[in-house]
Amino acid sequence: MLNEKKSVVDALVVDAHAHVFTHDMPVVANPRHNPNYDFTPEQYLAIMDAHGVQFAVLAAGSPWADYNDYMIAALRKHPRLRGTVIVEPSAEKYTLEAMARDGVVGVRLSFITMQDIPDLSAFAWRRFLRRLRDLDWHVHLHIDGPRLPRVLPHFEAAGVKLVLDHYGRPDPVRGIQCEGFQAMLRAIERGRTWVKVSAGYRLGEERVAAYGRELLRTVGAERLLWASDCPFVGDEEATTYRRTMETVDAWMPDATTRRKVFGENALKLYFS
Amino acid sequence: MIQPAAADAPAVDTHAHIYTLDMPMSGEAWHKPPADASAEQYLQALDAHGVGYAVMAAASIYGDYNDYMIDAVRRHQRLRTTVIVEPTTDPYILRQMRDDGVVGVRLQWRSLKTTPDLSAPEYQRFLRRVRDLDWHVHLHDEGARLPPAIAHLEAAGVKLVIDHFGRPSAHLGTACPGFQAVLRSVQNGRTWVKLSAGYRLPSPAVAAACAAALLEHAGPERLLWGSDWPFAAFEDKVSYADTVADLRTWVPDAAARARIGGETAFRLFFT
Repeated sequence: MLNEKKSVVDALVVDAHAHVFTHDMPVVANPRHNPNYDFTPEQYLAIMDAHGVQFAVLAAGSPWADYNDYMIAALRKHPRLRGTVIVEPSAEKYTLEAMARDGVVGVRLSFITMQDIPDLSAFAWRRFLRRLRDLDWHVHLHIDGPRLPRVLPHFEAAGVKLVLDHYGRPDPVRGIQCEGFQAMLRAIERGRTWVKVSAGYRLGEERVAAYGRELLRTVGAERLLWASDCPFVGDEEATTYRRTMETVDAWMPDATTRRKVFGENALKLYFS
Repeated sequence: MIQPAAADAPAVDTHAHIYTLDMPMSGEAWHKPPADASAEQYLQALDAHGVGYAVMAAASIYGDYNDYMIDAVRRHQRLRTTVIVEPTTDPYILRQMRDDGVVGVRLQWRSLKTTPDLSAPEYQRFLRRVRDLDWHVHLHDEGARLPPAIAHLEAAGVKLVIDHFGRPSAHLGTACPGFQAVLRSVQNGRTWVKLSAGYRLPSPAVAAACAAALLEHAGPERLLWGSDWPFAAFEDKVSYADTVADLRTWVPDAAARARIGGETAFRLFFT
């Protein structure tokens, strides 16, 4: 059974996006999800091992807001893991530096859950983005594609690295023609933006194959990061870890591209 | 052109700014610098004039983005700095700043229409923390507004450093109530005054008169010298050598000048 689940990729594999939590962690009011079970770092590491995944990046989850503490404890214990956190833009240099020493590599902005996006031109945000750049961190942005063009110039002006979740979440009807998707392609070409090819189970596997092929065709493989989004909160029963790999493997044209998307790119971005 | 180092150059420059143009500027910035003034450029200026040590002043145009200066004091043992912080800043953060080489907080009020109420509980707590850290408050404001601020800071028991002679007003000069309050304050033993940025004063004569009054009332153990490098808004009009020469004009006695440029500043910022 375990052998059968081995990686679809015969090379180093890095999972760029997964969550760990326990059911008794403090949850914000009206959370996007509220899992009633635990998914511990140990459970996750066992899944990584079973699928030939060596390294992984834990993503802060919006239900727990800036209670990053459980995740940070996991980073301290397991050198195979890195993480992104949710913090206020007023976070002090010293606090962020302490987090960096523990394995934090970026800040997650979950704008997808916000009706009003904060004013990124305000001094507090420019100062914050500059601090992230000083740390060589990345902004880990979860936003609906149509709103991406509005915020993208602020991140690019700040000179901070940017990682977009889930193919940039293009408008499902307009797909690759969506202005957000097109803006993302242009940003990737400028060299400081990456995108996760992940959450096909949320966006539709056929759709994401089209997104993936368009990304390869226009900007190449260097900025694409495979991620599982484990444990597939809200879709735990229907999705398997192996399936998240196969969904992306389906549009890999060759072994070199596969090695980059499944491991090399993420290793460079998050672990060096 | 590199000017030869003066034989009697001050040992410590107690007022200068460093920044790069790509740093985040606050919305209320009063001045937009024309070029980078990096830590490396500043160290070159110090070396070119034989100045060994320096204290950087937080600049209001970058708000509380003190990060660049903190990185510089971590790297260079010969540098110290002041910071601009919210009064609510956590004491653990302040302590880490001190360990890195921060020696005080700047109240840069000159560009503010209304100044904060230092008697408010959050400022009282903040000033106590500043005192606990043995930091100084580094106050820059119009001479006319200095007296009440000085009174609050004296009551809080913090060390106080007044920028640029106390910025006396043009028509009153040494008779300016702010300058008079500075003269009284230095006698309490916890207030120092910077002989610096003479070019920002109404005239060279006012600067010279203020310097003479300060030497008489305060003496060299309460006076400091600062270059104010890179001379914000006067970048093309003032040179580092000019500011060294100014000190010689204001303090003709070599022994007094040596104390102002050396021992007084060392004791206050480096011990």
